[in-house]
Amino acid sequence: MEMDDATLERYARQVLVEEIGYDGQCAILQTPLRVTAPDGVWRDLVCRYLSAAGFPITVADGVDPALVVSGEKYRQEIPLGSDIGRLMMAVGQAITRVILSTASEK
Amino acid sequence: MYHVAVVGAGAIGNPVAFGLSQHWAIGRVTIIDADRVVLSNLARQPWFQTGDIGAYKAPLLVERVGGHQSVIKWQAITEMLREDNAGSLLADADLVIDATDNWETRLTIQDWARKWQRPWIFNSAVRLEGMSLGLIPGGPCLRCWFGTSQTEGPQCFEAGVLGSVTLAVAGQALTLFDQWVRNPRQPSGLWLVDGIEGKFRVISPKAMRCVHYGNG
Ligand SMILES: [Zn+2]
Repeated sequence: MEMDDATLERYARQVLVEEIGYDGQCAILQTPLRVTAPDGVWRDLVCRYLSAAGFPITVADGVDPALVVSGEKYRQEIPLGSDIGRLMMAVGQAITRVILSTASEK
Repeated sequence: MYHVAVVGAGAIGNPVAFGLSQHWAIGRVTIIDADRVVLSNLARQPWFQTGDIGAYKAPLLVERVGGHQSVIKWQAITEMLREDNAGSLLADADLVIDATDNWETRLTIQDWARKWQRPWIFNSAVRLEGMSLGLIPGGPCLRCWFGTSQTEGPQCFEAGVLGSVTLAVAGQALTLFDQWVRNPRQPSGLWLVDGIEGKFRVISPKAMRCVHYGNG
């Protein structure tokens, strides 16, 4: 795949990160992920960040108090219920891991 | 209920505003940013969309994050924080969260904070790494922690950064805010996001007397 100019500009700051690069961003754009979690602000947060990074996502209602991000090759689970700040930290790190492992498969 | 001012509505300001909107101790939030949305913001400022390009960030962020809330009073200011307007823009803030990407503005926040004896929380993110640090009146200042030459460091527009890293940094800022709410006199350590290792680290508070500000 190739990114057009607008797509490249949109993800420019991610592409500039050495561990991602052009091919890594292309991999992200072609890696569908599923977010399973109870409806609410935290599921919305995870979806926002994954979509913004370029992943095609689908959303499913979860019953467990957890945020689950799953793809063909991996699964990340973040338990809900800690402090707001701690949960934001955990969600941020989990999404970074998803981005890095996707980009490294390029 | 606290009034928190957030300087910057970009990659750190977006999730900081979200975190504050969920926080029980917040009564009022002021978001200060003179920038408008551009295409390259969207990958890490996910409360903005393609249709927002060209619009001021601060009022958009307030609308998206706080628009449906009645408990917290939200205010957007589309000015750049400078030495000559810091006094009026930050006037009633109990605490300031730095969500900028430059040292000049951080030092402006700090000068204001020292003058009025208010706490503030420094944040930064570059590549896969981030930092947060709570600074309280009487404790070590930014210059004590980083030295005076740090102001020349690489800016994020050159180096690239991930939105998920800025989200983790905002989470640290919210955690430091919690810490301050619980004990306003406790000095903070330097909190580090390591996105490569997937870890967080805390460097212990410095036991030093600030020599940079008169009232110390
Ligand atoms: Zn000092």
